[in-house]
This record gives sequence, C-alpha cells and structure tokens, in this order.
Amino acid sequence: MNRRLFSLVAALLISSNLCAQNPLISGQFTADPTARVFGDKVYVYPSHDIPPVEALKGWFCMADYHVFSSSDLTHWQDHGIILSQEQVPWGNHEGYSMWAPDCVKGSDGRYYFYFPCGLKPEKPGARAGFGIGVAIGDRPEGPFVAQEKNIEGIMGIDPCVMQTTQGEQYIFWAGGVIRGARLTPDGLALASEPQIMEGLPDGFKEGPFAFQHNGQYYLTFPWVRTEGGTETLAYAMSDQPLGPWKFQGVIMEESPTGCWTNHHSIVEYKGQWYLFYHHNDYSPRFDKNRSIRCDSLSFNSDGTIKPVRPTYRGVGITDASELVQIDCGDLMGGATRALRDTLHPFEGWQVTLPPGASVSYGNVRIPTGDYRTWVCTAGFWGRTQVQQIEQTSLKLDVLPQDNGLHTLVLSNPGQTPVQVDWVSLNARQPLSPLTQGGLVTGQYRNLFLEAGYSQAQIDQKVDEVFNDVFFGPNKVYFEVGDDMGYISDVKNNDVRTEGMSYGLMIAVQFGRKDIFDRLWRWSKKYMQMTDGPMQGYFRWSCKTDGTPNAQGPASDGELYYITSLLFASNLWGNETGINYLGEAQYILDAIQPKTIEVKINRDRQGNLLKEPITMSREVSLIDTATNLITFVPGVPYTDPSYHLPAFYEVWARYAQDGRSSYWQECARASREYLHRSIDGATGLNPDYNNFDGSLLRNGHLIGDAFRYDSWRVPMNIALDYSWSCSDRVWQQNYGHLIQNFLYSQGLDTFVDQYNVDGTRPERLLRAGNYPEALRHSIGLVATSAAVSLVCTHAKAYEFVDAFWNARHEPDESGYFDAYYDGLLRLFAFMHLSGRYRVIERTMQFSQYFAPATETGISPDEQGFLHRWKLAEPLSRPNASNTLFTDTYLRDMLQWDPKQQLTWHHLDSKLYNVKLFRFATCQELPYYGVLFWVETVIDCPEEIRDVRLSVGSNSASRWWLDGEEVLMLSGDRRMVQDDAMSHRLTLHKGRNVLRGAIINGPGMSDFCVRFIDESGSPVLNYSIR
Amino acid sequence: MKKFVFTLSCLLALSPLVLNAQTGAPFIHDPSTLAECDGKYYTFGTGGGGLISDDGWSWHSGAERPGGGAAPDVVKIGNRYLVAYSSTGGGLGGRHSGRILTMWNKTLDPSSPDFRFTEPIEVAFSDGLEDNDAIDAGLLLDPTTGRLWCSYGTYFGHIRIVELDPVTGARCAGNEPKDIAIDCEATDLIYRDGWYYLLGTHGTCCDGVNSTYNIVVGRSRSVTGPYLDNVGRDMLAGGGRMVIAAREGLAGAGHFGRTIVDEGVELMSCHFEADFARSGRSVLAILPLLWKNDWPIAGEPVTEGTYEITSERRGYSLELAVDFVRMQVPRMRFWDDSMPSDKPVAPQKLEDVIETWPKDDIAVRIGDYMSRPHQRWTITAVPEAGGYLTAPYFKICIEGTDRALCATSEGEVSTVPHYTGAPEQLWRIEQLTDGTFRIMPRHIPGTEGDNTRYCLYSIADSTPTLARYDFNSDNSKWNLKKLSSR
Repeated sequence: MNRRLFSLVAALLISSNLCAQNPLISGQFTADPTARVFGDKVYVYPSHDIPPVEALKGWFCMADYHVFSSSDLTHWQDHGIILSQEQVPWGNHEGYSMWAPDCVKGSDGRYYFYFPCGLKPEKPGARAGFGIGVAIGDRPEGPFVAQEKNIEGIMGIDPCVMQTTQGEQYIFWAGGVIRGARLTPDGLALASEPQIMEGLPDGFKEGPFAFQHNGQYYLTFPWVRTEGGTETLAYAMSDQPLGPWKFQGVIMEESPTGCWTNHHSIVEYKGQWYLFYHHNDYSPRFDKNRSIRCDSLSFNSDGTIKPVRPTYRGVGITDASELVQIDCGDLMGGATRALRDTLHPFEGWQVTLPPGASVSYGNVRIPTGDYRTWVCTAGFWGRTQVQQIEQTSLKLDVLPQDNGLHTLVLSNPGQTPVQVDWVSLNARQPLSPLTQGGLVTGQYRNLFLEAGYSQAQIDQKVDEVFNDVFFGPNKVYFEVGDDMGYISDVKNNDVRTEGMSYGLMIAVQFGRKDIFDRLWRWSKKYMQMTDGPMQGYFRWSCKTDGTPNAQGPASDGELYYITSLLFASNLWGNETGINYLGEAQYILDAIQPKTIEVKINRDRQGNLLKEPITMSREVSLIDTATNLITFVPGVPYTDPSYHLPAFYEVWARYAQDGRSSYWQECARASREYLHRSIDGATGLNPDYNNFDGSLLRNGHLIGDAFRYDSWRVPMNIALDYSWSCSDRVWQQNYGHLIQNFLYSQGLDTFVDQYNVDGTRPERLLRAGNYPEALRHSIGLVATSAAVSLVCTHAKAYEFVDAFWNARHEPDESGYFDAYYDGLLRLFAFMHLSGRYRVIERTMQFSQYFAPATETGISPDEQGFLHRWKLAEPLSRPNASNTLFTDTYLRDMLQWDPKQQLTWHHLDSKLYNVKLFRFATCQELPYYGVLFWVETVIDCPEEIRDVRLSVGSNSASRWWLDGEEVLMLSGDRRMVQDDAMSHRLTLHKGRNVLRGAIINGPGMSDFCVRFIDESGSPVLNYSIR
Repeated sequence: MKKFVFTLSCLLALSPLVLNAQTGAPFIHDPSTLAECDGKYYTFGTGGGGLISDDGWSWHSGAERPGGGAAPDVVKIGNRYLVAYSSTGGGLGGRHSGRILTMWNKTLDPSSPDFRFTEPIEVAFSDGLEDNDAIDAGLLLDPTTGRLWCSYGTYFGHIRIVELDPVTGARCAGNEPKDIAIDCEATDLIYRDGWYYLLGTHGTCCDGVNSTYNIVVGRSRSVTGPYLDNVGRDMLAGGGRMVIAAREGLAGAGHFGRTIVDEGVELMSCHFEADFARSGRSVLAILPLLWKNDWPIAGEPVTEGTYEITSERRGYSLELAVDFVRMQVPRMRFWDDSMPSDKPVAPQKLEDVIETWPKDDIAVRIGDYMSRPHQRWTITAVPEAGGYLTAPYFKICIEGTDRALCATSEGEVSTVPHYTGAPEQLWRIEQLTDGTFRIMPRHIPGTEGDNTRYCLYSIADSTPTLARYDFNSDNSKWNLKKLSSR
C-alpha cells in the first residue's frame, strides 16, 4: 500500500458496525448503490460523495470507491477503499468523477468492477469526457486493479452489466440517452454496436439498471417525468435483453427530501427482492452529498413491479437487544422526527412524541430470556439519558408479527412531550456512549455498574488492583525515607518518567496526597533537570537510587507530569507545601521551543561517528510545525500512544499559562493525527510514526508494528472520549474497529504484537529479560476493555467481562509484568469504574473567609462590615425568591433564642459576605435556606442619626439590639445600599446587629454598612 | 353610524388586538439581538432553533441554530454572521459549568445552500464552581475600534467580559475574562456616543406570570468597565437603572437586544416571560428604545385610540382643511353673577359639522388645537396588512368616520372619504429615541414598493407634506396625545 493511499484510508471514516435503518451507512456519504449477491453476502458498491473540492464547488465530487457487505442487511461492513482515481491509468487523477459503478463475477471466478471516470485530459486541469473502465479483483472486496484502457466504444457514465441466464453479458450506460450493447465473454470489450434503448419515455434518464426475472428483461432507470422536476425511479420491460422496451411506470416517486438525483439497483437476496437507492438524509441542504438506502420490493403476478415507498425503517431484522433506533419507525399521532444535531447530521435522528403520539418499528427480534426495557431520552439541553421505561412516562408494546418477529410500538400516554433516541430490550443496560465529555458535564460512566457488577464488588476490585500496584507483594511503588518514593519498572530495574507520572496521576485520582507528594519529590530531586539546555525536562530513566540512566526526556512523561500537577493543584490547592500549579507552569515554560547545542554521535544510519559533531537544534516537546507531541523533544516523529488530546484541554482550562488557545489547537491537531495513524481495516497503529501518520520504515525493530507502546492507544482514546467527547463519531468507530479486530483473533487468545495490517510481525520485541513470545497480555486486555467506553456493540461487554475476570499472575512460562501490565490494568479499572476523571478546581473556604481574630476590626473604607458570626443554614425549602412577602418574612424570620444554631465567627475577605460559599465550602445546604448572622458593633461614643444600609440576596430582616430596623422583602438580588433603616442611634459600647437572610435558588450574600446624615459611611467604631 | 361603532367596539372587546408584543407565533426565551439577512429578520433563543419574520411584526419558528443550550446572541461582521451560544444549560441544567461557543454562518436562511455553521469554538468557560456560569453570551462589535467583545454569565456570580477576534470568532490570545457585574443574566453590551452600556436582566425567570425578570443598565467610558448606574453605583455592587420591567399583560422582560433602524429610530428586543393574552407563554417583544439623558429606556408601543397629532415644530395639530364651525353657545360674561355657572357645555360633535364637510377628498393642514371633530384622529391597527418591527400598519381616520389620511401621488397628504385598505392609506408609526413619533405612509402612489424614507412633515407651521425623514429636524417629528373617546 503506498503512502498516499495509506493516509487516505486512515483519514476516511471506516466502520464495520453501521446501522440497520435507512440510511444504511453513517459517517460518510454514499450514493448510486449497486447491490450484488456473491456467495452468501450482499455487497453494495456505491459511489462515494465527498464535500466538493474548490474546482467542483456545488457539484458532485467523488475520488474513490468503497464496498460494503452484509449477511443480514442489518450490519454492514465497510471494506475500505477498493479503487481510487489516481489508480486509473486512463483516468483524470484530479477529476473527482468516480460516478456510479457496478460489479459482476466473471466466468473465470474473478470480480469485474465497472466504473465511470473522467478521461485523462490533454492539458492538466482541463476536463475531457467520461469513459467506462473495468478493474479486476480476486475477491468481491478487492483490491481491484484497473485495466490500462477504458472500454472502447463507450462514452458515458453509470455502467450496469446484466448477465443473462443464457450466459451472455450486456452492458448499459447513460449519456443523454440510455444505450446498451453486448459484451465480449471476457467482459472487457463491446461485442455489438451500442444502440439507443427504444420505447422509453421522454424526459431526462440516466443510471440504467437491467436485470432478468421470470424470463422477462427489466430496464430500470432514474427519470425526470415533469419539466423542472426531480428524478423518479421508473422501469420498462421486454422479452429481449436490449429491447425494444415497453414502458411500465414509476417504481419510486420523487425524493421527499428534495434530492434531485436518485439511483438504484434491484437484487434478490434470500428469497426477497430489494430496491437499493439514495436520498440526501445526512446532507439536507446539499443534495450532492447523498446516503444510500434500501427498502423491500415485490412484483405483481404479471411481472410488473409494485411501487416502493421510501422508509426510514428500511430492511433487515433488528435485534432488540441492540439499540433499536425507534426514530426510524412509522410516526403516528403527531410524532415528529428531527436530526439530533443539525451541525452533526451523522448523529442521526430523534423522535418527539407529544402526549398521545406513538412510533412503531417492525421486524424486531425479541431476546430470549429475561430482559428489561431501556429508553434513551434526549433532554432540552441535548443531553441524553438512559433509563428503564418504568422511570419514564412512556409505554412500549411488543406486538407479535406473523413471521415470528415483533413490532415495537412506543407511545407517550403522559402529559408532556418526550424526545426519544432509541429503545433496547436487554438484561444489561445497552451500551450508550456519552454525548458530552466530563470536562463539560462532570459526569463519567461506571461501565462495570452498567454491566451489572455491584458497586460493592467494583469498589473491592478497584481497591485490590490499587493495592496490587502500591502495597501488595508484587508492588511497583517503593517509599524512600520519610517523604519520597518511586515507581519502578521492576523487570528493567529502573525508574521511568512514564511510571512516575502514571503514579502521580493515579495518586491524585485516588486522592492520595501522601503518595503523590512522595513521587513528586523523588521526581523533582532525581529526574528533573535543574540546569543545562533541557532544564525543567525530566530524565526519562534513572536507577532506583536516583542515578541517571539517561540524560534526555521521553515526551509522555512531561505530558502526565503536567496534567497530574494541575489536578493536584485543583484538588489540594497550592499552599500545602508544594506549589503544584507553579511546578506545572515551570514545566510548561520549559517545554516551549528553544534552540540548544547538541552533540551528534551517530550518523543517520546509526553508525558511530569518529568525531562527534556539534549542531544547534530547535527542541520542544510539541513539534512546532505540526503542534504534535514528539517521541523525544526535537525528533521529527511521534508515538501514537503519546496522544491524549483531552490533556491539552485540561491545560487550556487550568494551567493559567496564557496559552489556552494554543493548547486547544494542539488537541485538535492531535485528534486529526490519530485519524491518520489508525489502520482502516484493523484499528491498529504503529508504535512510532511520522507526523503525517505514515510509517517510519527505518527497519528498526520498534516502530512500524503495534506492540507494547501501542496498547495504550485504545485506552487513550477512551479517555479522550470520556473527558472531551469532541470526536464522537470517529472515536466510536475506532472502538468498534479495534475490538472487532481483536475479537476476530479470539477474545481470550489475541496476542500483544501485530503488524498494523493485522498480520503477525516477523520479529518480536522482548519484554525485559523474558524470552521473545507472543502473549495474551493483560495490559492489552485492559486497554481493549477500556475502549468499551466508546462502543455501542454488544461485544464491548464481552471485553469488559473478560478483563474483569482476567487474573494478573505469572503465565505458564513464568512471565509477569507488575509494572506496565499492572499500571495499565489499574488505569483500565479506573476508567471502567468511572474513577478516572478530570479533577476540577474546588472552591476553598479560605478564598472567602478567615477566622475572626481576638481584636476588633474596623469597617472598610466604604464602611462595610466584614466580621460576622454566621450560623450554619437552616433548611427552608422554597422554589423561588418571589415567595418572600412581608408576611412570610415576619412569620419565618423570627429569632428564637432556644433554636440550636452552629455559629462560625469569621472575617469576610470581601465586602459582601458570601453566604453561598460559606455553605458550599462546608458542604452545607445552600438553596432554600435561612442564614442567621450577627455582629457586635463597639462604639467609643454614641453615634446618632445613622442608617443601616443593606443589600441582600435574597430577602432579609434586620434587628439592632433586638429591635427590628429593616426588612428587604420580595425577589431581591444583592444591590449595595438597596434599602436603609430609619435614623438609628448606635450606643456607646456594644450594639448587637442581627440579620436573617433567606434564599431560594441563587448565590446568597449580603453587604451591610452604616451611613450618616451626609450619606457618608460611618467608620468610627470597631467590630467584634 | 352609532350601530356601526357599537359593533366595532364589540368586536374589539371580543378579540382584543395584541399590540404590545410581536404577533404570529413569537414564542421564544432569550431572543438574540435581531439580525437581518436577505430581507428577513432572525432571532435565536434558548434551546436551539429560533424565529423568522418577513416584516419584523409577525414571527414564526423555522430559524436554525444547532447546539442547544442557553441564550445565544448574533452579530453580523462583514458578510458573515457570528453566533455565540452556550452549549450547556447552566444553572437550569443543574450545574454551573458552562461554555460559550461561537460559530459562523454566511447566511441565516436555513433554505440557502450556503447555510452551514462552522464548527463551534469555545471562547469562555466556567468550571462549575467558580463565581461564574459561562452561558448567556452578549456580543458587541465596537463601532469605534472594530474590536469584538462578549459578555456572559448569570446570577451565579459574576458577569464577565472577554475579547474575541472579529476574524475568527475565537478568544483573543492572552485575553483574560474580567468581572463587570453581579447577579445579572442574559446580558448585552451596546455602544452609543462615547458610552458603553451593559444591560443585564435581574430577577427570576421561568416562573410564568410570576417571573420577576427585569432589565437594568449601567454605563462606562471603557468597554471593560466599571459599569456604573445613574447614582454612580457599580454593577459589581448590584447597581443598575431600570430599562423595562413588566407591562400591562406582560411579565418578566429579559434578554435585551438593540437594533438601530435609522437615525433616531432605535428598537429593543426582549422576551416577556409571560404574555397574559397568550396563555402566559414567553414571547418576543420589540419596543421603541428611547434615550433620556444618555440612558436607555423602553418606549411604549402605539396603542389604538383617538389622538391629537401635534407637530414638534410648532405644536399645531393635524386637522382636516374644513371650515371652522362655530359652536352655538351664548357668550357668558364672567363677572355677571346673574348668569348660570353650573350648566355643562357639550363639546362639538361630529354630526354637528360633518354635513358641512365636502364629501370627497379633503386636504389636511396643521392648526391650533381646539378639540374639534376635524382634529380628532382615530388610529386603528390593520393587522391583515402586516407590519414592521414594532407594530402592525395603522389607518388614521377622523374619529367616528372612515375618512382616512393618505399619501398622494403628488407627494402630499390628504384624506379620502372612505378607507379602502390601499397601501397609501396605511401608516407606519414609530416612536423616536426622544419620545416623539415619525409617521410614514406605507406607500406613496407613483413610487415603487413600500416607502421607508418619507414621513409626515411640517413644511410650514400650518402645512403638512411628505418629506425625507430627518431626525435632526423637528419638522419630521410628531407627538401623539391620547384623547378620551366621545
């Protein structure tokens, strides 16, 4: 596979778990489907629409062909690109005119792929007419090799080859009119003069599809029947293969979605006839990006074809234990269907069921055994929720059909409209990947819990695995002295930035500040470089006593160090001995591009030079040209397993280093790069590759194959999905791709090293000093289970179960890797139990309040009182602040000396006393609450004619020395000087000011000062 | 005639014409600043989607704004539209981790082939704990500098401002959010005559007729604040001067947006949480925006009724050019106590004078107001004729008749004896920023299409005509004084 093709394959979205309903294929556009039955499978050869390149703006644009196959018309496998325009010797390599194709099996058992293509122009950039050529392959899914020349005698598009029961082959094509001719037996040339098909109606026609049924010949074709109209599908019949034809009428009406074209094929599979065609469902505004569909077709007894009504339900049996996209059903009683997100149409539809409406979905296979009914509803904010149907207002009827299958009827007998995405009948909760990331929602899935394991089991298991790594007999964590510790790659007997930074991440995720601080101190003392050109970076390997093994960094260490330190800063603040944020910012500054002098000891071939050469070189952790992380700072390639785009988004959010948009850009670049690095057929990636995703091909043992480093990629993508959810469609398809590949290798037998094409590598990489061997390593078992977080297919649970049941113990040969396998196992347990999260910043009580001191304080310059005794809030549930009438306040806000209150004597750091933070930082109730507050005003002499001035959120009532002086009723926000008392006298000595603030929703706070007759703040007293 | 009037008022009583908010199906929450695209008006609201209007008066759903979430805003920059929205529900979603996103579109028309939003980019964020909820974006393209600003936030802590790049819609590199207010929601920034104004919504939303939402304003010489109210109080200390609160039949004004139609013709869009005439649903309202001592304040929509229409030029009133009919009431000597002083004098009635008026077209002039029938104009909405941004078109008839004010092909004003619904008999009445009104015929015979330039104009103290609207001339301006019905 050449490099260009490789990157093309990888860049395109390839999936093997496409949905049952119409359209058949999601994630890419498909059009002009020719369906053929080869063996026991249906193969669909569509054209492949892409958003137009600049030269074809607004027009059809197709550069290559894929083929899709299915054995049940429900699950479709994408076999990837089978032919692209630059592989056509006679074609225009920049024509983007790979229009409707066909494929037949020749008498030699090979497969003949007929396709139109723009002819090679005389001058580059010019356009010539269309030719039709043949490409031959040994299998239906190719690869196909194009003939040197196109078929002589044909100028046109839309080839269709009809093989008759008499063993002859005819070709039909379009080009203003529909023509046909007999083909030579080898299928490569015309055996008769092309002739125009006669007997067809007036009006534009193209896309012929001819077939034989019950001794009759059928010529079917898209046809514009009215001036200015769009295409119908129509047909004619004849008893001769090339006509003359007798026109019969329309099979399918004009597209209801306004798609100008339609193009089709008709095929019999397992005793049922089907019409394959296209609309523009996934591109409602641009009808040249189309999507293929299929509906059943049947004949009348006289051989005529019954009209076909396009449905979203389509064909095939839907297994109700999978997700039933009920939005593709028949809508009744006012139900409506709409795209879930018009920005991302491939995410499909949802159905809105107003009260009394329903939707029905037929040909469903009901699971045997017990099941529960799950419903995925979509909320107002676009968030989806999976619930059992009993928890909703919905009702699902399961109605038997004659054929042993069932029809599901989902109805809404409730009072409010409900939006539904899917239903599923399954003992286990259907796998439903998140639609928004934890960075936004703070929500993480506990997939073990969804899989049916109990929380107690999960907690126990996670604790065990944590213990195995840090404290068990085979631990890899070792404490040194009172305040340091390291994690060792025991099989290599060293300490690596990889393991150390992983340890930090795990420690902060488990809230283990003790472990975190020990690991950090060891890292800082022994690994982080304090001077020289690489100051701030970490030596990637040290001996366990701290002696350096290496002088340079490996980029993934810095990646995890920074992220873990930011989390530590968020969790523990920066005032507990280690300035975590400061340390992270120091590394972030250090990894920026800089020019250093380097000594070169070896040439490009790796031979030792006689004299080392000194060169100046630019180094940075992130390659400046591509914004991609380097394998090692300064080298021109990367490691796919170092790509954790969501980490950059964490940096953008929390690092406060002024580079947030740059980090966002790095995240974007990294996701794009991952698309280029994954093999489209296997989901595997190489250990290292070039920034453009191509293989290094330098002959080294480590690099081009999927080995130890690469195992992390599935888990990394699970992390990126869970945290960010910015690449949903591709990442879901990736998860299915790699799980399908590993599944095909045996869930319990897949091995731990592959070439990226899925073949076994010739040479194996050793792990430590253990013998070379292919193993079913638990590290890969762990990461391939973690990627279940992005999957919707049922086998994802099998990976989860297999991982849950896998034991981490020496294999028959005695192989045991406590370090790498152990850490990946722990990470995967964290992921699957919802315990690997973005650790968000927490609000610190100390930001708002300090304990009151012994001595009195003055009001601030503006006269605001900062010292208060605040009582912990009392619950006063109320949904709205509009309820706080004068009567309500007089009733509810009454001082009762006997009431039990817990007081905190505090100085507010702000002029407004943030009662909301007072409550939230102490995990006290904060909405629907009543706060009592009190302070003592100590006057050196009597102060007359002052007014108490208050702003409060929400309503409040105030007493001076027990006498009510002010009430703020109604729906209040904190407004400085919102209300004032009558003139008051502050007596010499102590005056007790008491307030009660009541709050529904909202951030409760208040500000209080005294104002004199001139309107100036009163300052000459102290507050105790 | 009596009977006719009776029937008419009966009809009005049965189906009161709603003139204080937009008509059609204007159901929305948090409408974005009105945007014009290819002759149509658009506004986007909370939860995705939005409203479209052909004329600004009648609105229906159909605008498309993906991404869901709360309170978007839109601004046209060059030939593109920048939409800012929040992907999350903020406080209503139960969490205060919000994201402000921006995306571009070449058009707002969903049926256009160019209608495609770019991938949204995050420009502001709140982590769910801090004193901010990054939703409810408001955009300002500063006309003096070309710089682009975005305010955002809710009652959950601070309102913040960030600077965006007007080319990319992304946050400017290195720009850090700045706190500019507290306890507001659905803020918007506007600029006028050297002042930046921050409009925030105070109070409680989403509680139907009991919603206390109201819009307040503070102003600053700098876009980044401090925004002070009319008593010098910072909006960071809760300051703010009321722009609009509830109105008769409408509760909970929220989410301000300013639209400049013409010099001196400004509008504010907002929603009312509950329209009492429409089951208490939340509706779009577009009201005149007035400026009083450089403070914005909502004007009043024109309501149906009988008015004295006086010129701002001299204060004379619009009247039919008919004979002055003396009232036959004996003259009283004020010093003569032998004369009665408790006998009411009936005002002159239409029937007392109408027979003296010509039966065909009657010219109009402007004269000193005497409260006579030829000076009393009944303004009635003509909803079937459509409307403009603040109201439906009106007919202006002499009270008790269907003699209608109209534009003529000579570019003058006159009256026709019977209102026929012709476009030159329809009037567009708009309150100007100083509280006066401009009165424009929908159509001037002999010209193409709808008139948007010529208004009723005092060419002389006593002479009305049609002339180019000029905000800087009192000749263009009129006052409407509502009269009690006779």
